[in-house]
Amino acid sequence: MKKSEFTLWLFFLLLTALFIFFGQNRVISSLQYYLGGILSPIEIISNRAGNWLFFWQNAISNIKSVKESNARLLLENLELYNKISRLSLLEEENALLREQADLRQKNIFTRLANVIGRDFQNNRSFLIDAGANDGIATNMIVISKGKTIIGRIDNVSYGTSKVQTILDTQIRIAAVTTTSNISGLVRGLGSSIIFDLIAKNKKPETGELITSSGTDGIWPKGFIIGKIKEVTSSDNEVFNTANVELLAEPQDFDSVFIIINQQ
Amino acid sequence: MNSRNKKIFSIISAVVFLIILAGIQISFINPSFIKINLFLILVLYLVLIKQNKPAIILAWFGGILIGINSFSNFGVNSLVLLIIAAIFIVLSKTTFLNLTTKSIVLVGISGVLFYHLLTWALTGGGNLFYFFNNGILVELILTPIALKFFLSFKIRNA
Repeated sequence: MKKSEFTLWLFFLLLTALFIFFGQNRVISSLQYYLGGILSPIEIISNRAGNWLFFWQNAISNIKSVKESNARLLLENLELYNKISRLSLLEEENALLREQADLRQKNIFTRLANVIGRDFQNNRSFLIDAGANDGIATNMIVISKGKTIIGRIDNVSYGTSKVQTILDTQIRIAAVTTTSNISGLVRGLGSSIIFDLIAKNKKPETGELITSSGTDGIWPKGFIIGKIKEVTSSDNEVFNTANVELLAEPQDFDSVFIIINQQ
Repeated sequence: MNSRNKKIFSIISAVVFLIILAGIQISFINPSFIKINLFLILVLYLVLIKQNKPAIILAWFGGILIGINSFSNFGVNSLVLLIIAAIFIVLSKTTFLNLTTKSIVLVGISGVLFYHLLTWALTGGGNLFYFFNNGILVELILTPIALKFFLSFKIRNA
C-alpha cells in the first residue's frame, strides 16, 4: 500500500471509528437522518420494483399450483353458492314455522302446505301439496302467514287439495270493520271482493281493515280479509257497499297455512 | 467542459450512482433470494483493477450508506469494508498479481468469508451460524461470477 493510500485509509478508518464511538452524537444522528431521507425515494422505487418482480417470479414458478388452487376454489365457490341457496330456503321455511308456532300459541292449529298448482288465468283457486292423509278436510280455512284469509278447502284428494280463494263468487264471509265496528258481508266477485250489506246509516272509513266476525259459524273470528278501498252509497239501494282491496293477491303466495282445529 | 468541471461532474455522478446502488441493495437485493453485497463486489473489483484510492473511498461511503438500514452500529459496515479493502490491497501486491480466473474466484470467496467473519466479530460475536447461513452459499457462488463478469468487461474495453 502506498503512503497516500495508507493516509487516506487511516483517515477514513478514524472517521469510521468516530461514527461508531459517537453514534449517539447529534451531528452523526442528523447525518444518518438526512442520508436516510435521500435514500428513501430510491428505496421505495426499488421495493416496488422488487415486489412486482417477485410477484411475477412467484406467479410463474407456481403457475401449476395456482391453476390447481383456482380449480379447487371454483369448486368450493359452487358448493358455497349451493349452501347459500339452501340456507335461503331454510330461512324462509323457518319464518313460516315461526308463524305456525305463533298461531299454535293462540290455540290455532295449522298445517303448512305449499302451492303446487294454479288455476288457468284466474286466482279463484289453487292446488296445495296437503291432502286427506295430512288431515285436511273440506271447508277448512286457508290463511297466509300474516293471518289473512286466503280461502277455504274446496276439494280434497289423498295428497293434494284444491283451495277456493275469497275471490270466488261462492264465497260469503261475515265481516266487521276494525275501527268503526260496522258489520257486513264480504262477497267474491270473481276478480275482486266487496263488503256488502252495510247498514244505510253506517259508512266505514277508507283504508279501514275488515276482519272476519265469526257470526256465520263457518269462518273463524278475527282474521283479516282486506281493507276498505271505496264506499258506494245510492238512494235507491237498501244497503251501502264498499270495494275491498286485498292485502295480498292469491297468486303472491307460495305456501299457506290450513287451520286444522281452532279451540 | 473543462477538467475541473468534469471532475466535479464525475464526483456527483458517482455519489448519485452509489446512492441508487445502496437503495437497490437495501430494498431490492436484501429481501430477495439473490444474497449478494454490491458494495463488497465493487470494492474487490476496484482493488483488482488497481484503483486503490477509489476502492477505499467507496468502502467508506458504501458502508455508511448500507449502514443506514443495518442492525449493527452506524459505521460498522464501513469499518468492515475498509479492513477488507486494506487486506486485499496488501494481498494484491504480493499474491494476486495477475487476473486469472483462479485468483478472481479466490478473491471473491475469501472476500465474502472475510466480510462475514469481520461482521460477526465486530458486532459482538454471538451465534456464528447466524452469519454463515444458507444465504452465504449463494453469495459465495455469485460474488466470484460477478467479479469475473465485470473484469472480463474491463479487459475487453482496455
